[in-house]
Amino acid sequence: MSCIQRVLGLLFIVTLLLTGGSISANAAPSAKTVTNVDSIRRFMEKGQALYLAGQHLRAAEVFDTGYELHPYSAFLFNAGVALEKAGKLSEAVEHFRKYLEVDPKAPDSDDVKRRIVRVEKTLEEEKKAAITNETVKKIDAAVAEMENTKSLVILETEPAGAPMRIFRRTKGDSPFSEEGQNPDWTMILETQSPANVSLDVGQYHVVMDKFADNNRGDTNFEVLSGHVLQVKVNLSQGQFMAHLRITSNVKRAKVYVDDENRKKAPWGETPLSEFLPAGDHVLIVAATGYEPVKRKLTLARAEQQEMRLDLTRQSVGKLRVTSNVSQTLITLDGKPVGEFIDGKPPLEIADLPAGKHFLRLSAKGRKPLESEVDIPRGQALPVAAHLVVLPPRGAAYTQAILGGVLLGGGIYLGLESNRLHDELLRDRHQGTLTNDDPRALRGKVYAIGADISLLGSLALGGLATYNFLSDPLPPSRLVVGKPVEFTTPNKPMLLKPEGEEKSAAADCSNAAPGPRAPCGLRQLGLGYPRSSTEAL
Amino acid sequence: MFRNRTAPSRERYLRKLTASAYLTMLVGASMPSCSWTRFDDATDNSPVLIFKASSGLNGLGTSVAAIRAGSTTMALATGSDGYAIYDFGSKNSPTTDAITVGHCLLSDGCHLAKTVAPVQRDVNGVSMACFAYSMTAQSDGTANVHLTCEKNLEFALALDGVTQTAVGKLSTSTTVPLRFASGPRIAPERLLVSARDKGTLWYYPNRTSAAVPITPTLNVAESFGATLAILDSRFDSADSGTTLVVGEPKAGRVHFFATDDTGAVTSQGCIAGPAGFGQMLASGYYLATDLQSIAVASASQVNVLPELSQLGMLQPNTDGCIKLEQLTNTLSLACKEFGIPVDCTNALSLGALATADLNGDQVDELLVGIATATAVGVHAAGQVLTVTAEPTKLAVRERLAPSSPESGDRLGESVVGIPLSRAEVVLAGAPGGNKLAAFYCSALVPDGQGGKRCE
Repeated sequence: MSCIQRVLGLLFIVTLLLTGGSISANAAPSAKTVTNVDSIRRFMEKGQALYLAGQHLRAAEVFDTGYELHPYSAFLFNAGVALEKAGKLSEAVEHFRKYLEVDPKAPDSDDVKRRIVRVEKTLEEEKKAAITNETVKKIDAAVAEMENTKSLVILETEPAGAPMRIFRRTKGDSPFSEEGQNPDWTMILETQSPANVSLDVGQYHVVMDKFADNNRGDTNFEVLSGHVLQVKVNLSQGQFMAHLRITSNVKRAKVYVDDENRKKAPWGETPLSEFLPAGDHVLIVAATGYEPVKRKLTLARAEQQEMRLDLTRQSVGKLRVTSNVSQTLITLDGKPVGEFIDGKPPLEIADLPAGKHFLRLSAKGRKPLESEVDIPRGQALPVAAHLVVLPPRGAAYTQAILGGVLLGGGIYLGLESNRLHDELLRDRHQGTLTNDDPRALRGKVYAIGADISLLGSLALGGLATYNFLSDPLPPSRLVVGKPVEFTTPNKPMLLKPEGEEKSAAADCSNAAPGPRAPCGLRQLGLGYPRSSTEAL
Repeated sequence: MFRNRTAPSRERYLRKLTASAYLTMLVGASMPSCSWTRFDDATDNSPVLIFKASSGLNGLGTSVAAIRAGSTTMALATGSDGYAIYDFGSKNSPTTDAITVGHCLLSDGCHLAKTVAPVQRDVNGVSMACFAYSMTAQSDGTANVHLTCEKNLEFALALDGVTQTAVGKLSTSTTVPLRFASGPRIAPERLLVSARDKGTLWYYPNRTSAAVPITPTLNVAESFGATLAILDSRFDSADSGTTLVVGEPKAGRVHFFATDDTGAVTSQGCIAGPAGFGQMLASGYYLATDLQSIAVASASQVNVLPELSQLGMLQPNTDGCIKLEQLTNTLSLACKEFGIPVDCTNALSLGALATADLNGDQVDELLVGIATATAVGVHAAGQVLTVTAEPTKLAVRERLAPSSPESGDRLGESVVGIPLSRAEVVLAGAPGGNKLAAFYCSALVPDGQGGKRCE
């Protein structure tokens, strides 16, 4: 393997969090996937810290808790060590036995078995007679000899499935030779990545043998006592590679390589740094709401190329409409597009050409709302309508009816008055009109009545007109949110309460039930907003 | 991302449109509804004036009479229990309230006349306008004719012995049917009186207080003297004198008596007509001649007799009268020609005849009051016909009725012409309505000459 191959083929990331001592190496279930390293690490480190501080019982409790949450055998072994140190020999034996049950193929299983025998012997002696000073000294010596706790080592490869051999330096200080003899090193475990193993304190070397078309890889690592060690090795393929870095104006855009129909899983997400075999490739970068970008490129051997592919937004967008009133009819550009029903997701209108559109919302008993909305490119525009109740018009109708009645009466009286006047003039012209003709008085009364009625109707008409036109309530408003990505869940947009508004004339009884009913706002003193359209 | 925009609401536009239309309609409708004062304008200076009875008077308008008193004209109207005098002034502005109200109760020995008459008397050398309206008993039981004059003066005219005997003592329980007539019409100086229903008739010549009894030469029926009239001239050969006309309607006869300045009275004969002939009498210059005519009403017909000079030349019948048909040039107006809704079988049983020169052309018009006529659809409201004499007939020129009649007014039960400065107006009594009606405008008056009441 050449130098370059070695450099490129064995790019590994070793995360050594802490180091510590170890007593023995033992294997954990090799197929188990570590899903919460931080949690494991927290329990391991805390137990180790308590152990080092001499609080062995509490350390044993932490290790037990760690095991309950993350059943790795290292926790059992460490708890057994802490219990033995605390003099809880029978409980220590139980933990060691359980350790063997959980991890029967542990590399140090023989050592643990011997340790069990020794502790049990000590325990029998304790039962037969009082513990002598000599016995105590033996125990202390034994415990001191084996007081190091184990560490959890997580071994991963990219790609997974590589066969692994773990070697421990048992003597001397010679480095591990890739091809030669390694008398100072003893193979303690042969497994397959990923693997989690409980190892004693010491120097280790892991060898990933060649598999499939992946090259061989290896690395050293040191295990300290009571820690979690994560070793990740990226294996190179068995051909000459080039390195490609792809960036875009869109983060986490999907990158497809040599998959023009995008039927396979994406190669990665931007920003992306990966090895690619040298040669011609077709690169596609795509993201929701953006027009995908396709680019052809040729990579030379060991070439390191950086490429930026900016995406542009799609020419269509979506509109998501929610309302404070159920059964709100929604019209867009003069055409009905649907209805908002309370309790259901906001009405989503898709494939709208980006740009300005005329939105109209109406609901029974509510002021209709008309507004222009600007549909963004490749995004969804959430809007929330706050339809305000129509002001009460009962008084206006009553006044109009009374005014109409008075008007009718006034017109009738006026016509009667005119008729009587005409009759009087006719009689006067004929020379028969008397000075006390009762029609004169009647006509006068009618005229006065007509005038009063017409004045009354005029006043009532004015009042009715005022009450018809006056509107003490603010207009319905449309709250326009910030555009979101198509992938953003379609949830109702919450209205921002505004407390400075008055809402005395609002009628709760007309409010449709709903989670954002305006009456609720009003009863809380939040009131109605002033503007017809606003942005959040 | 978005643009604030206040949405133009279609509903708001609709409301504004409705409100504007409503206001426009209101304003438009209120425009013609003008002030009520136009009714005052219409009734101010109305062509017909109604004179209401003063308190305590009933049946005002049973009889009416008018006379000029200096520059003014007074009218007296009787009711069932008294009289009221109204001042008509000289033009068109009378006082509708009575200037004098007098009571004449039978219980007080006052017998109110069925028909009253104006008469002028000289008081201390001054001519005074008076009305003969009643007869009262003196303390000694004798009767006097009572006059009420201007300045609230009262006069009594004594009866002669013969008449006093005929009249007898006045009762306080039984009314004496008393009637007056006077002449000439505008300045009456002679007074003709009838009392009782049979033959009790006397006459006061030119402003004198000495009664001259008149005795019919023929046998007369009970209704003799029920109607009276005076012609300003004689139709016999005498140059001067007066003709007294006495109706006997139940016999269908009209008697004529001639008198001269001395007061001597002689019978001139009589005319017999149809049933009820003579139940209303009037005299006037109905024709455009110097000859005065007598108008006589029967039950359903009005006749104007212009040729009374024929009486002496015609041969009377067995009853001493000549027949109406024997007279030539008699002008008649039958009930069917009245042109008003009335029962013609007895149309003139309740009414009056009077004379007036309504247009001031020196040719009198005949006023025919028909109290039973329907006016403006009102039953028994009464009407007054203005009748003119044409060369060959009588013609109804207008029918007078107030614009607001009431049922049972009986307008026309009495009627008289009120002489004003230029012409006369018609004053008709409506005793059923306890009122009088003065008609200031006549169709006979040319347009523009009737004064402001006729504009």
